[in-house]
Amino acid sequence: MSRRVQYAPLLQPLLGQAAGYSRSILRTRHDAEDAVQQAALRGLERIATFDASRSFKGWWFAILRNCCIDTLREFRAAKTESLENFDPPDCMPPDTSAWECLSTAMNRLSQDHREILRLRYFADLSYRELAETLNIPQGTVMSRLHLARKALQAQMRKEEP
Amino acid sequence: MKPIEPAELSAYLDGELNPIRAREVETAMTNEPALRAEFNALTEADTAWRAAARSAEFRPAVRLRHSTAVWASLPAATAGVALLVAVRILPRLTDTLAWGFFLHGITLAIMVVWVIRLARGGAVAANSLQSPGTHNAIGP
Repeated sequence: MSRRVQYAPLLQPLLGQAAGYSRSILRTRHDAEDAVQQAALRGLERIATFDASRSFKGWWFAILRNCCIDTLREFRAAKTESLENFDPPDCMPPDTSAWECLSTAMNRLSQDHREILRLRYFADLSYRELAETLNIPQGTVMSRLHLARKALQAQMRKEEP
Repeated sequence: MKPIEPAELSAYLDGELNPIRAREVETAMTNEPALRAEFNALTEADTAWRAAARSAEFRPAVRLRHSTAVWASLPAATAGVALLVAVRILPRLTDTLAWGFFLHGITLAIMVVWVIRLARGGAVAANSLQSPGTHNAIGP
């Protein structure tokens, strides 16, 4: 059985969440779609190295996360965005949709907190998958996610009109 | 019973606690209104954030490139044809006209190969230097 034949059915159910996750980082539908496409090809190249005892979703979202980081680095190189201190530029149109409001609030948090929140909410990863994607123990996932939620709650309250 | 840590409320909300500990959390929430109130606030925020995150989703058109058997065997086929040409045809090309026909034939063959590749979607400008292949859409 070819690698593609094994890989495609595993990948297909993840695409919607992958698009939402990428969009929460990269903002535009076009950039999000490019990142998902790039991650799909990168995953196919590396599928032989995938350890079947691990979660495919966690493994593949780690690849997607790296693709999004690469894209942000390109943005930074083009002097449009900053990876470490991502803030939407002032010239951006006001947030109109629920996900944009959520993403903007997440952008105001620390990098650790926004990363775990994006993977939890936009990618819907379980604690095990979060641990594999972020390469941290599950106990750390539990405490970090809780602190991140509290921080996001506080941020949302601050941004309420 | 071990006291409930704040992070365990999150884990309970996410269904990530083992059944024994989950029951202990439920008991603690029954006895401690403050803990119940904190859990309710977490649940409310969690529901709203989930709904917001879902609104960002869309179905991307993703294509997986892969080498098919035909194109993967192209280098070997080319080497075989080149060997055949070198051994059987080149020694017979004795005049200019024959060489002209031969070179035109080679050019035509290359053009046909590229037309086929374009028709199969395996050659796009951005990837023109990459290995030949086809595209299979797994998105809509």
